[in-house]
Amino acid sequence: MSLSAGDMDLLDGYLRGELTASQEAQVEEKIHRDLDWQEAYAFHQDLEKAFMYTEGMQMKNFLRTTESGSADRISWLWAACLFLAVIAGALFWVADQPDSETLFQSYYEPYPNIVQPLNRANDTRELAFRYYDTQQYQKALQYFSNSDETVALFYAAQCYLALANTEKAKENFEKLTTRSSPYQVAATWYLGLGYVKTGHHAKAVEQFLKIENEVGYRQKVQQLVKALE
Amino acid sequence: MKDIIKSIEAGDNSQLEMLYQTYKQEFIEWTLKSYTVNEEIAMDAFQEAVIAFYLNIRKGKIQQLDSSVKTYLFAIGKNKLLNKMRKEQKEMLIEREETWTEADLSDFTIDPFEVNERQDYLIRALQQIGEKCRQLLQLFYFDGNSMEAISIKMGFKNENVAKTQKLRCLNTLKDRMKGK
Repeated sequence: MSLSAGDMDLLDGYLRGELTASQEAQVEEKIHRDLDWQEAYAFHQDLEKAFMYTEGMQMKNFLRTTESGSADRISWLWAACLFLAVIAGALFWVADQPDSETLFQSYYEPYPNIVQPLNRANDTRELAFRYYDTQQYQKALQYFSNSDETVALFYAAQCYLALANTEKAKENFEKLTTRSSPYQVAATWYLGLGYVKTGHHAKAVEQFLKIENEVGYRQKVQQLVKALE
Repeated sequence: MKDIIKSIEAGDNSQLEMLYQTYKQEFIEWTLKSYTVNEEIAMDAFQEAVIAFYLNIRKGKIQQLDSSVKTYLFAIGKNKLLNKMRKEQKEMLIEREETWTEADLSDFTIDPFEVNERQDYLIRALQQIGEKCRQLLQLFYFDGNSMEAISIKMGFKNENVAKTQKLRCLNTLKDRMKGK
Protein backbone atom coordinates (compact mmCIF):
# COMPACT_ATOMS: atom_id res chain seq x y z
CA MET A 1 0.00 0.00 0.00
CA SER A 2 2.10 2.97 -1.20
CA LEU A 3 -0.26 5.55 -2.62
CA SER A 4 0.52 9.23 -2.14
CA ALA A 5 -1.55 11.17 0.37
CA GLY A 6 -3.48 12.76 -2.49
CA ASP A 7 -4.24 9.38 -4.08
CA MET A 8 -5.38 8.02 -0.73
CA ASP A 9 -7.79 10.94 -0.41
CA LEU A 10 -9.09 10.11 -3.87
CA LEU A 11 -9.54 6.44 -2.97
CA ASP A 12 -11.29 7.40 0.26
CA GLY A 13 -13.62 9.65 -1.70
CA TYR A 14 -14.34 6.82 -4.12
CA LEU A 15 -15.17 4.36 -1.35
CA ARG A 16 -17.51 6.86 0.24
CA GLY A 17 -19.29 7.70 -3.02
CA GLU A 18 -18.18 11.33 -2.88
CA LEU A 19 -16.60 11.64 -6.32
CA THR A 20 -18.00 12.89 -9.60
CA ALA A 21 -18.76 10.34 -12.32
CA SER A 22 -15.57 11.16 -14.22
CA GLN A 23 -13.43 10.95 -11.05
CA GLU A 24 -14.99 7.59 -10.27
CA ALA A 25 -14.16 6.32 -13.73
CA GLN A 26 -10.60 7.55 -13.26
CA VAL A 27 -10.22 5.70 -9.96
CA GLU A 28 -11.73 2.51 -11.37
CA GLU A 29 -9.25 2.63 -14.22
CA LYS A 30 -6.37 3.03 -11.76
CA ILE A 31 -7.62 0.12 -9.65
CA HIS A 32 -7.92 -1.99 -12.76
CA ARG A 33 -4.41 -1.23 -14.01
CA ASP A 34 -2.20 -0.34 -11.07
CA LEU A 35 -1.02 -2.86 -8.47
CA ASP A 36 -0.56 -0.21 -5.76
CA TRP A 37 -4.15 0.90 -6.25
CA GLN A 38 -5.39 -2.68 -6.18
CA GLU A 39 -3.58 -3.35 -2.92
CA ALA A 40 -4.81 -0.14 -1.35
CA TYR A 41 -8.38 -0.86 -2.43
CA ALA A 42 -8.21 -4.43 -1.05
CA PHE A 43 -6.68 -3.15 2.18
CA HIS A 44 -9.48 -0.64 2.69
CA GLN A 45 -12.08 -3.36 2.07
CA ASP A 46 -10.33 -5.59 4.59
CA LEU A 47 -10.19 -2.75 7.11
CA GLU A 48 -13.91 -2.19 6.87
CA LYS A 49 -14.51 -5.92 7.30
CA ALA A 50 -12.19 -6.02 10.31
CA PHE A 51 -14.17 -3.27 12.03
CA MET A 52 -17.43 -4.96 11.10
CA TYR A 53 -16.16 -8.08 12.83
CA THR A 54 -15.05 -6.35 16.02
CA GLU A 55 -18.22 -4.26 16.31
CA GLY A 56 -20.33 -7.33 15.58
CA MET A 57 -18.50 -9.28 18.30
CA GLN A 58 -19.07 -6.50 20.82
CA MET A 59 -22.78 -6.50 20.08
CA LYS A 60 -22.86 -10.31 20.25
CA ASN A 61 -21.25 -10.22 23.72
CA PHE A 62 -23.67 -7.48 24.78
CA LEU A 63 -26.68 -9.57 23.73
CA ARG A 64 -25.25 -12.64 25.42
CA THR A 65 -24.91 -10.84 28.73
CA THR A 66 -28.65 -10.25 28.58
CA GLU A 67 -29.09 -14.01 28.46
CA SER A 68 -27.33 -14.68 31.77
CA GLY A 69 -30.46 -15.99 33.47
CA SER A 70 -31.10 -18.69 30.91
CA ALA A 71 -27.34 -19.28 30.58
CA ASP A 72 -27.20 -20.46 34.20
CA ARG A 73 -29.90 -23.02 33.45
CA ILE A 74 -28.10 -24.17 30.31
CA SER A 75 -24.80 -24.41 32.22
CA TRP A 76 -26.40 -26.74 34.75
CA LEU A 77 -27.78 -28.95 31.98
CA TRP A 78 -24.40 -29.06 30.25
CA ALA A 79 -22.69 -29.97 33.53
CA ALA A 80 -25.15 -32.84 33.98
CA CYS A 81 -24.61 -34.05 30.40
CA LEU A 82 -20.85 -33.84 30.77
CA PHE A 83 -20.97 -35.89 33.97
CA LEU A 84 -22.99 -38.61 32.22
CA ALA A 85 -20.66 -38.51 29.22
CA VAL A 86 -17.60 -38.98 31.45
CA ILE A 87 -19.21 -42.00 33.14
CA ALA A 88 -20.18 -43.48 29.75
CA GLY A 89 -16.71 -42.81 28.40
CA ALA A 90 -15.05 -44.55 31.33
CA LEU A 91 -17.24 -47.62 30.80
CA PHE A 92 -16.72 -47.84 27.04
CA TRP A 93 -13.10 -46.56 26.70
CA VAL A 94 -11.16 -48.15 23.82
CA ALA A 95 -7.39 -48.22 23.97
CA ASP A 96 -6.49 -47.23 20.40
CA GLN A 97 -4.64 -43.92 19.91
CA PRO A 98 -5.41 -41.62 16.95
CA ASP A 99 -2.79 -41.82 14.21
CA SER A 100 -0.61 -38.69 14.69
CA GLU A 101 0.63 -38.28 11.14
CA THR A 102 -2.82 -38.73 9.62
CA LEU A 103 -4.31 -36.25 12.07
CA PHE A 104 -1.55 -33.76 11.37
CA GLN A 105 -2.03 -34.02 7.61
CA SER A 106 -5.78 -33.60 7.98
CA TYR A 107 -5.39 -30.23 9.63
CA TYR A 108 -2.11 -28.88 8.33
CA GLU A 109 -1.83 -26.32 5.57
CA PRO A 110 0.93 -23.75 5.14
CA TYR A 111 0.03 -20.28 6.34
CA PRO A 112 -0.47 -17.98 3.36
CA ASN A 113 1.82 -15.06 2.58
CA ILE A 114 -0.12 -12.04 3.72
CA VAL A 115 2.84 -9.71 3.97
CA GLN A 116 4.21 -9.24 0.48
CA PRO A 117 2.44 -9.19 -2.88
CA LEU A 118 3.60 -11.95 -5.21
CA ASN A 119 4.35 -9.85 -8.24
CA ARG A 120 7.22 -7.75 -7.00
CA ALA A 121 10.63 -8.97 -5.83
CA ASN A 122 12.85 -5.97 -5.42
CA ASP A 123 14.74 -6.88 -2.28
CA THR A 124 15.87 -9.90 -0.26
CA ARG A 125 12.77 -10.04 1.90
CA GLU A 126 10.42 -9.84 -1.02
CA LEU A 127 12.47 -12.52 -2.78
CA ALA A 128 12.13 -14.73 0.28
CA PHE A 129 8.38 -14.40 0.11
CA ARG A 130 8.41 -15.17 -3.57
CA TYR A 131 10.29 -18.40 -2.77
CA TYR A 132 7.81 -19.11 0.00
CA ASP A 133 4.82 -18.61 -2.30
CA THR A 134 6.30 -21.03 -4.83
CA GLN A 135 7.04 -23.65 -2.14
CA GLN A 136 10.83 -23.25 -2.47
CA TYR A 137 11.10 -23.44 1.31
CA GLN A 138 14.82 -24.16 1.53
CA LYS A 139 15.61 -20.99 -0.43
CA ALA A 140 13.08 -18.96 1.56
CA LEU A 141 14.76 -20.16 4.75
CA GLN A 142 18.05 -18.61 3.69
CA TYR A 143 16.51 -15.23 4.46
CA PHE A 144 13.96 -16.06 7.15
CA SER A 145 16.33 -18.07 9.36
CA ASN A 146 18.77 -15.15 9.59
CA SER A 147 16.45 -12.80 11.39
CA ASP A 148 14.82 -12.69 14.80
CA GLU A 149 12.08 -10.39 13.51
CA THR A 150 8.62 -11.74 14.27
CA VAL A 151 7.58 -12.11 10.63
CA ALA A 152 10.82 -13.91 9.75
CA LEU A 153 10.54 -16.26 12.77
CA PHE A 154 6.97 -17.13 11.81
CA TYR A 155 7.64 -17.83 8.15
CA ALA A 156 10.87 -19.66 8.95
CA ALA A 157 8.80 -21.90 11.20
CA GLN A 158 6.35 -22.42 8.34
CA CYS A 159 9.25 -23.42 6.09
CA TYR A 160 10.62 -25.85 8.67
CA LEU A 161 7.19 -27.42 9.09
CA ALA A 162 6.75 -27.79 5.34
CA LEU A 163 10.18 -29.41 5.15
CA ALA A 164 9.25 -31.81 7.98
CA ASN A 165 11.83 -30.28 10.35
CA THR A 166 9.21 -30.28 13.08
CA GLU A 167 11.54 -29.67 16.04
CA LYS A 168 12.95 -26.45 14.55
CA ALA A 169 9.43 -25.38 13.60
CA LYS A 170 8.20 -25.97 17.15
CA GLU A 171 11.16 -24.01 18.53
CA ASN A 172 10.19 -20.91 16.53
CA PHE A 173 6.46 -21.24 17.16
CA GLU A 174 7.16 -21.61 20.89
CA LYS A 175 8.96 -18.25 20.89
CA LEU A 176 6.09 -16.62 19.02
CA THR A 177 3.41 -17.91 21.40
CA THR A 178 4.90 -15.72 24.13
CA ARG A 179 5.48 -12.71 21.91
CA SER A 180 2.56 -10.31 21.60
CA SER A 181 2.02 -9.96 17.87
CA PRO A 182 -0.64 -10.58 15.24
CA TYR A 183 1.00 -14.01 14.72
CA GLN A 184 0.58 -15.17 18.30
CA VAL A 185 -2.65 -17.12 17.81
CA ALA A 186 -1.58 -18.71 14.53
CA ALA A 187 1.76 -19.67 16.14
CA THR A 188 -0.11 -21.38 18.98
CA TRP A 189 -2.18 -23.34 16.47
CA TYR A 190 0.88 -24.48 14.53
CA LEU A 191 2.77 -25.33 17.73
CA GLY A 192 -0.18 -27.54 18.61
CA LEU A 193 0.01 -29.16 15.18
CA GLY A 194 3.72 -29.70 15.68
CA TYR A 195 2.98 -31.58 18.90
CA VAL A 196 0.36 -33.64 17.06
CA LYS A 197 2.96 -34.61 14.46
CA THR A 198 5.48 -35.65 17.09
CA GLY A 199 2.84 -37.64 18.98
CA HIS A 200 2.67 -35.38 22.06
CA HIS A 201 -1.08 -35.25 22.18
CA ALA A 202 -1.52 -33.83 25.66
CA LYS A 203 0.80 -30.92 24.86
CA ALA A 204 -1.04 -30.40 21.59
CA VAL A 205 -4.38 -30.18 23.39
CA GLU A 206 -2.87 -27.73 25.87
CA GLN A 207 -1.97 -25.37 23.03
CA PHE A 208 -5.27 -25.75 21.19
CA LEU A 209 -7.31 -24.99 24.28
CA LYS A 210 -5.54 -21.64 24.57
CA ILE A 211 -7.10 -20.54 21.29
CA GLU A 212 -10.41 -22.36 21.29
CA ASN A 213 -12.39 -19.12 21.29
CA GLU A 214 -10.33 -17.28 18.72
CA VAL A 215 -11.91 -16.29 15.44
CA GLY A 216 -11.55 -18.98 12.76
CA TYR A 217 -10.23 -21.59 15.17
CA ARG A 218 -13.19 -22.64 17.26
CA GLN A 219 -14.56 -25.38 15.03
CA LYS A 220 -11.25 -26.93 14.05
CA VAL A 221 -9.96 -26.82 17.64
CA GLN A 222 -13.10 -28.56 18.87
CA GLN A 223 -12.82 -31.25 16.21
CA LEU A 224 -9.11 -31.82 16.70
CA VAL A 225 -9.23 -31.88 20.49
CA LYS A 226 -12.08 -34.39 20.26
CA ALA A 227 -10.01 -36.56 17.93
CA LEU A 228 -7.00 -36.37 20.25
CA GLU A 229 -8.94 -37.16 23.38
CA MET B 1 -37.47 3.55 13.93
CA LYS B 2 -35.87 7.01 14.02
CA ASP B 3 -35.49 6.71 17.80
CA ILE B 4 -33.66 3.42 17.42
CA ILE B 5 -31.31 4.86 14.81
CA LYS B 6 -30.60 7.96 16.88
CA SER B 7 -29.92 5.97 20.02
CA ILE B 8 -27.54 3.58 18.26
CA GLU B 9 -25.70 6.45 16.59
CA ALA B 10 -25.29 8.01 20.02
CA GLY B 11 -23.82 4.75 21.36
CA ASP B 12 -26.86 3.78 23.40
CA ASN B 13 -27.87 0.16 22.78
CA SER B 14 -30.74 -0.03 25.24
CA GLN B 15 -33.44 0.31 22.57
CA LEU B 16 -31.82 -2.42 20.52
CA GLU B 17 -31.72 -4.64 23.60
CA MET B 18 -35.41 -3.97 24.13
CA LEU B 19 -36.18 -4.99 20.52
CA TYR B 20 -34.15 -8.15 20.99
CA GLN B 21 -35.93 -9.12 24.22
CA THR B 22 -39.35 -8.20 22.82
CA TYR B 23 -39.22 -10.39 19.72
CA LYS B 24 -36.72 -13.11 20.58
CA GLN B 25 -39.14 -15.61 22.08
CA GLU B 26 -41.68 -15.24 19.29
CA PHE B 27 -38.97 -15.85 16.70
CA ILE B 28 -37.73 -18.93 18.55
CA GLU B 29 -41.25 -20.36 18.84
CA TRP B 30 -41.95 -19.76 15.17
CA THR B 31 -38.63 -21.40 14.23
CA LEU B 32 -39.26 -24.48 16.35
CA LYS B 33 -42.69 -24.91 14.75
CA SER B 34 -41.35 -24.55 11.22
CA TYR B 35 -37.96 -26.27 11.23
CA THR B 36 -36.14 -29.18 12.86
CA VAL B 37 -33.64 -27.15 14.81
CA ASN B 38 -33.02 -26.67 18.50
CA GLU B 39 -33.59 -23.55 20.54
CA GLU B 40 -29.93 -22.63 20.62
CA ILE B 41 -29.69 -22.42 16.82
CA ALA B 42 -32.90 -20.40 16.68
CA MET B 43 -31.56 -17.97 19.27
CA ASP B 44 -28.22 -17.68 17.44
CA ALA B 45 -30.03 -16.87 14.20
CA PHE B 46 -32.08 -14.16 15.85
CA GLN B 47 -29.02 -12.70 17.59
CA GLU B 48 -27.23 -12.55 14.24
CA ALA B 49 -30.24 -10.83 12.72
CA VAL B 50 -30.16 -8.16 15.41
CA ILE B 51 -26.39 -7.77 14.95
CA ALA B 52 -26.77 -7.40 11.16
CA PHE B 53 -29.48 -4.81 11.70
CA TYR B 54 -27.27 -2.93 14.20
CA LEU B 55 -24.20 -2.95 11.90
CA ASN B 56 -26.20 -1.57 9.00
CA ILE B 57 -27.52 1.24 11.14
CA ARG B 58 -23.94 2.03 12.24
CA LYS B 59 -22.87 2.16 8.60
CA GLY B 60 -25.72 4.46 7.68
CA LYS B 61 -27.36 1.91 5.38
CA ILE B 62 -30.72 2.11 7.12
CA GLN B 63 -32.53 5.40 7.42
CA GLN B 64 -36.06 4.07 7.26
CA LEU B 65 -37.86 0.80 6.64
CA ASP B 66 -40.74 -0.10 4.31
CA SER B 67 -42.22 -2.44 6.89
CA SER B 68 -41.93 -2.79 10.65
CA VAL B 69 -38.67 -3.47 12.47
CA LYS B 70 -40.12 -6.81 13.56
CA THR B 71 -40.78 -7.80 9.94
CA TYR B 72 -37.21 -6.97 9.01
CA LEU B 73 -35.69 -8.77 11.96
CA PHE B 74 -37.73 -11.89 11.28
CA ALA B 75 -36.89 -11.86 7.60
CA ILE B 76 -33.17 -11.53 8.32
CA GLY B 77 -33.41 -14.10 11.10
CA LYS B 78 -35.03 -16.60 8.76
CA ASN B 79 -32.29 -16.00 6.21
CA LYS B 80 -29.60 -16.54 8.86
CA LEU B 81 -31.34 -19.69 10.04
CA LEU B 82 -31.54 -21.18 6.56
CA ASN B 83 -27.84 -20.45 6.04
CA LYS B 84 -26.97 -22.24 9.26
CA MET B 85 -29.08 -25.19 8.28
CA ARG B 86 -27.56 -25.35 4.83
CA LYS B 87 -24.14 -25.39 6.42
CA GLU B 88 -25.14 -28.23 8.68
CA GLN B 89 -27.06 -29.96 5.83
CA LYS B 90 -30.11 -30.44 7.92
CA GLU B 91 -33.38 -31.45 6.35
CA MET B 92 -36.16 -28.95 6.77
CA LEU B 93 -39.74 -29.51 7.70
CA ILE B 94 -42.25 -28.10 5.29
CA GLU B 95 -42.26 -24.33 5.65
CA ARG B 96 -45.43 -22.81 6.90
CA GLU B 97 -46.98 -19.97 4.93
CA GLU B 98 -45.68 -16.73 6.34
CA THR B 99 -47.10 -13.29 6.00
CA TRP B 100 -43.84 -11.40 6.43
CA THR B 101 -42.59 -9.63 3.35
CA GLU B 102 -39.28 -10.85 2.04
CA ALA B 103 -37.42 -7.58 2.08
CA ASP B 104 -34.33 -6.90 0.04
CA LEU B 105 -31.85 -8.73 2.23
CA SER B 106 -28.71 -8.07 0.22
CA ASP B 107 -27.32 -5.79 2.89
CA PHE B 108 -27.92 -8.38 5.59
CA THR B 109 -26.61 -11.53 3.97
CA ILE B 110 -22.94 -10.75 4.55
CA ASP B 111 -21.72 -12.62 7.62
CA PRO B 112 -19.68 -10.16 9.72
CA PHE B 113 -17.98 -13.07 11.49
CA GLU B 114 -16.74 -14.81 8.37
CA VAL B 115 -13.27 -13.44 7.83
CA ASN B 116 -10.37 -14.69 5.74
CA GLU B 117 -6.87 -15.07 7.09
CA ARG B 118 -5.73 -11.63 6.01
CA GLN B 119 -8.71 -10.01 7.70
CA ASP B 120 -8.15 -12.11 10.82
CA TYR B 121 -4.58 -10.89 10.88
CA LEU B 122 -5.71 -7.30 10.42
CA ILE B 123 -8.16 -7.65 13.32
CA ARG B 124 -5.29 -8.67 15.58
CA ALA B 125 -2.97 -5.97 14.27
CA LEU B 126 -5.65 -3.36 15.02
CA GLN B 127 -5.52 -4.41 18.66
CA GLN B 128 -1.86 -3.42 18.73
CA ILE B 129 -1.93 0.12 17.40
CA GLY B 130 -3.37 1.82 20.47
CA GLU B 131 -6.89 2.91 21.33
CA LYS B 132 -6.72 6.41 19.79
CA CYS B 133 -5.53 5.15 16.40
CA ARG B 134 -8.09 2.37 16.41
CA GLN B 135 -10.87 4.78 17.26
CA LEU B 136 -9.82 7.22 14.55
CA LEU B 137 -9.62 4.56 11.86
CA GLN B 138 -12.95 3.08 12.96
CA LEU B 139 -14.69 6.46 12.88
CA PHE B 140 -13.41 7.00 9.36
CA TYR B 141 -13.51 3.55 7.74
CA PHE B 142 -16.47 2.01 9.53
CA ASP B 143 -18.68 4.83 10.78
CA GLY B 144 -17.99 6.95 7.70
CA ASN B 145 -17.37 10.16 9.66
CA SER B 146 -15.84 13.10 7.84
CA MET B 147 -12.43 14.35 8.96
CA GLU B 148 -14.13 17.44 10.30
CA ALA B 149 -16.46 15.37 12.47
CA ILE B 150 -13.54 13.23 13.62
CA SER B 151 -11.47 16.26 14.56
CA ILE B 152 -14.34 17.47 16.76
CA LYS B 153 -15.06 14.06 18.33
CA MET B 154 -11.41 13.35 19.07
CA GLY B 155 -10.36 16.84 20.06
CA PHE B 156 -7.93 17.56 17.23
CA LYS B 157 -7.09 21.18 16.48
CA ASN B 158 -8.57 20.98 12.99
CA GLU B 159 -9.33 18.72 10.03
CA ASN B 160 -5.77 18.78 8.72
CA VAL B 161 -4.36 17.59 12.02
CA ALA B 162 -6.90 14.74 11.99
CA LYS B 163 -5.85 13.83 8.44
CA THR B 164 -2.18 13.72 9.37
CA GLN B 165 -2.96 11.58 12.39
CA LYS B 166 -4.99 9.20 10.23
CA LEU B 167 -2.04 8.75 7.90
CA ARG B 168 0.25 8.06 10.87
CA CYS B 169 -2.19 5.49 12.24
CA LEU B 170 -2.39 3.72 8.88
CA ASN B 171 1.41 3.57 8.71
CA THR B 172 1.54 2.21 12.25
CA LEU B 173 -0.97 -0.45 11.27
CA LYS B 174 1.05 -1.29 8.17
CA ASP B 175 4.17 -1.67 10.32
CA ARG B 176 2.38 -3.97 12.76
CA MET B 177 1.27 -6.13 9.89
CA LYS B 178 4.85 -6.42 8.74
CA GLY B 179 5.85 -7.47 12.23
CA LYS B 180 7.71 -4.26 13.07
